[in-house]
Amino acid sequence: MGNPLWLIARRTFAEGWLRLIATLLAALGSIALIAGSLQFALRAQEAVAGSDASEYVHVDVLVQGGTVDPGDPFAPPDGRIRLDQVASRPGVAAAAGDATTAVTASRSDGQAIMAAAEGRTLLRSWVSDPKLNPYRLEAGRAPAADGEVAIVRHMSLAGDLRVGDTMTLTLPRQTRQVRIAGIVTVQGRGAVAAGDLVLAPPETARRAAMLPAGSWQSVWLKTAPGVPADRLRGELARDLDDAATVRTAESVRNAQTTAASGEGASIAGVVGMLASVAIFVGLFVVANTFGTLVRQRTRRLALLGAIGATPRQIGRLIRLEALVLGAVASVGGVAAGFPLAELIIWLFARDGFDVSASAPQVGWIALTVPVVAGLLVTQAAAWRAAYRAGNVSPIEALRSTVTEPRERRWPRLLSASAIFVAACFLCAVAVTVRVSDPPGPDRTFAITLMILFASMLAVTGLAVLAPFFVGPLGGLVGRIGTLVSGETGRLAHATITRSPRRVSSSASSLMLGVALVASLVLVTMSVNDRFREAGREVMAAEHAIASTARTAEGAPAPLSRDVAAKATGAPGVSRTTALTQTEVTLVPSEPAKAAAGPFRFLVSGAEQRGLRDVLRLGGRPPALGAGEIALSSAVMKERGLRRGEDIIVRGAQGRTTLTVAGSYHDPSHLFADQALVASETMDRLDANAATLAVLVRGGSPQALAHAVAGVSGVRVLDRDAYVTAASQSLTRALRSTYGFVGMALLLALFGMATTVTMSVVERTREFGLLGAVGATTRQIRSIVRWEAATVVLLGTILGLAIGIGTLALLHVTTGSSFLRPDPPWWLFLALAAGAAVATLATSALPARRAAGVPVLEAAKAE
Amino acid sequence: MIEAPPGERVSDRVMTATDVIKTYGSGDGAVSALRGVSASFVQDEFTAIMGPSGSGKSTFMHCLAGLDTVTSGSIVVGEVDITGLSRTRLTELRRDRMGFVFQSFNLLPMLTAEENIRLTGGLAGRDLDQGWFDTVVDALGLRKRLTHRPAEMSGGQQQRVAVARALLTRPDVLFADEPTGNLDSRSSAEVLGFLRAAVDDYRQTVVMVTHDPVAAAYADRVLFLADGVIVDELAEPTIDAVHARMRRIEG
Repeated sequence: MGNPLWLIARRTFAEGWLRLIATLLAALGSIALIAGSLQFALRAQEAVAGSDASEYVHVDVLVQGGTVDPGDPFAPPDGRIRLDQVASRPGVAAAAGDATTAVTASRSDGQAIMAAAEGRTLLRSWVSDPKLNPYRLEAGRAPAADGEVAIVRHMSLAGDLRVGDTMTLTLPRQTRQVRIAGIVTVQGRGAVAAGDLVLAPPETARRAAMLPAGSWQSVWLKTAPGVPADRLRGELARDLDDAATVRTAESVRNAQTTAASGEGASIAGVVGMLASVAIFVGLFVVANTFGTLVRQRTRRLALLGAIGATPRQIGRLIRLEALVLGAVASVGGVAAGFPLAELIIWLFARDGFDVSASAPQVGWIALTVPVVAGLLVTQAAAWRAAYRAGNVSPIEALRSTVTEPRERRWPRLLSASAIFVAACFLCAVAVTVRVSDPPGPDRTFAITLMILFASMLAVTGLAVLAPFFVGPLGGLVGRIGTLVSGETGRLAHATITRSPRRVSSSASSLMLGVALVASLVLVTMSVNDRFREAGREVMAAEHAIASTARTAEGAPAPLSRDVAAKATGAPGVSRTTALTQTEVTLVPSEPAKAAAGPFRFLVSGAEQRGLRDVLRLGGRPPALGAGEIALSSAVMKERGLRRGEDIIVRGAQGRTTLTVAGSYHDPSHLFADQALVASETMDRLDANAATLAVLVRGGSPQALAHAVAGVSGVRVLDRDAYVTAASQSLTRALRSTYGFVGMALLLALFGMATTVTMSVVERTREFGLLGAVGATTRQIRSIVRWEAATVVLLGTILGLAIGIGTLALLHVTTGSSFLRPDPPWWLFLALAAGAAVATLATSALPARRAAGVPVLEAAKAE
Repeated sequence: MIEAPPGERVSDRVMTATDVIKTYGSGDGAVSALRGVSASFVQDEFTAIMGPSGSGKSTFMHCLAGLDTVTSGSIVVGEVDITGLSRTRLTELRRDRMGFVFQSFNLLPMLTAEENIRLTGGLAGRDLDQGWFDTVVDALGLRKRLTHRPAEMSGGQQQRVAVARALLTRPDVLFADEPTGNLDSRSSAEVLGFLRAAVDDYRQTVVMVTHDPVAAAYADRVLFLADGVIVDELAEPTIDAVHARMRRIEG
């Protein structure tokens, strides 16, 4: 008969799959989440890093004006280069000037066209020289006149645009309509590594980039036959000296590829964190349901033990069953991972991170890793159940009813303590990170990760301890039950306190669900409250005009600066200020500081006259003159700068020396988080600085809307609405967890449904007996409901404790004012109500069925 | 079968219980199920254990079979005292030397009759003795039922499958715990007839717990338990003699 254990495992699975289906689906869901997250991470990686298509494919040497940012190969150079300086040199076969400007493209109906993941949309010069032109026309023709453009294929697909359609381009200084003359691909790809391209005649691109006639940001060169690129590069570098950076196109292409894969890795980190939650929830749910399955089959396992199966063989039987379950769930999970990945991609794309252009990944990583993870998760989940099964005494087979044997308290207490010690250790690590690491997103990420794992451990620890809480809680519920429904309440009390493990295993899954929801709701509410509060404090303007389009981070896309002038004329308006922003790099004063890597920060620009009418920054920065900068206290402290000190920053237009005029802070982090300059200074740093919003004091929303009616893609927002919109980029990570937590919650509820159903079904006989001695169907259902009430009470209390505890830990360890445990009273009621509905819904059907089983039928049940 | 003189049987002793005490719980709430039971079981003998409800007859058999632990005393099977053995060693000893037939729930519902019969040997990793398998199956009239699942068989057929499973390993002792408790009289007679035949034809040793004097009359001797001690013993029992003794014990 072969291996009898294998035979039993296979048959149990084949015949009991209906009973196992909930466990199977729980495991499948968790594996699907793992597979889906991995698929998403791989596709994001491909979308970010994958378009290795380079516009420099036919270029040999690249001459870039001024200097370039060594850390960002996509950033435009900070100087200018005249085409005639290099075009006529010996050894040059062809030359073309290139100018790029970041723009927002929208369809004529106002809907923005998002660039592929983490990419930008750039307005750029069309290259007409066939020796250099990387753009292959797929449709239409090259842009010939001002107002005509060619777009890359990704844009045409994403925006459903065809040749001949019009499109709105929001440039830093103006908004204009353009006609699509052609659609191109680059090396067969729909976009380039930098993002999407809008190709305009060179003169249009040059003017948009605010360059004087004949000057370009960079010049592309093709060497004459027989001239090596490196030699031409060397000669040019020598002759042009500091005025330009000369590089071979190959080195630029390599740098672009490296940078792109780095970005992919950071996304994989976040997704990995979410996937670890999926693994934990899967482990927890499968372990819980497996434990219940083993408890339910005590007699069968005991019979095996009585007729000759050793404890080790019985343990192996359970592990074999887990293997079958894991294998089926893994295959299903990998398959389900593909549509799930589509869902995650869709959720992220809604927030501006669009990776849908990438193809589904079917490499061995995408297929093997979830399968292996699934097998490991189910084996790990079955480990404790297998151990328990091995310990079932053969004498149990001879008992007519299955009762929970009494167990010693100390192993449970000991393992719970061990788990809590591990959780405390992780918290201690988080505190150490807080103390030793410099502040920043990396530190926050590390701390959050530690706290997240600590919370998962705490959930496990509480689940282990849960049976101890059932007694007192069951007593309480039983007393209430006795008061309300008399004898049934008394019976319910007896049922609850007699089987603490059964009640607690249902409550554990509920606890996990409540903890997930409570943590997320608390964090979201705390963050949003803080943004609203701080935003109201800082933003004195009543209105803000912002773009309807969004950046890849989810914040409003830049708008063109001419909107400010339009709003100024509106009736009742007393002040309009365009809030601009650009990124600069601090040029280190001493070589020692350079070793730490470049320090990049965002500089906000605003007209200084009457600034306090629209923005009230903390610490009251002085009115800034030209060449002055105010820094946030955090930046001052971190870089060790003093008031009156001169600093050199490198912006889009080269190096600029600025005097630190004072410090301030922006508690909202939304308007001038790191540094502030006057608008004249901003023009020197970056003439094309992005305009985040136009802040308006006075006037009515209607009047303002009327004033900007001619500009497509902008809207007038009130204070709270603008703060909410602007904070989107900072809460993106939080929002990206919603989908995951939703799916994890579904899994947890599934687990609860399984355990509750099984706990009712395993008592069919008991209910039958109750029916035989005169309990009505209604009374039996009432007993099940009282038991459910205990489950709800236990699950909600423990889950809320975890949720609030997590937020409190985060508050203490990160020290952030954005994470404050301040739950409103209605949250408790809402969660308890939700938990009650979920529990009653999952127990109602099996209770109805169990109560309806005829007495004789019930007596026959195994 | 004619009983041989006692001296001749000592060497055939397969199992001896000495002063077995079994107490549940501790302190004031302690309940004594067995209070010093001693008994020997010899080869080729069919012993029935009888007694009123709560007399400890089932507990005694569970202790003999190593299914339950004893509080004190010793149980020697062959040369081995089983009271000190680990769970695994006990299980191995059970599957090598003992067979079981319970009152109900003897078979795994997901396996066919044949798979159930061969389960114990399979768990021990032993090769099947096909000749012996055929002998047992034919003797019990199970040939046509081999591919059936327990749910497709009558109670009597299920008990016969259980007997076949117990016999297939040629155990030193076959334990039967109220094997006919759930059966009608005709099926009972069949199952008891097979147990008797196992002793007579295949030289098996059988220990059976029962409360039914009719069943007890199939045995070679009957041990009577009351309040956790052996109060009487009857050789060559008849239905009437067993009845009379039981009435006397129950008072």
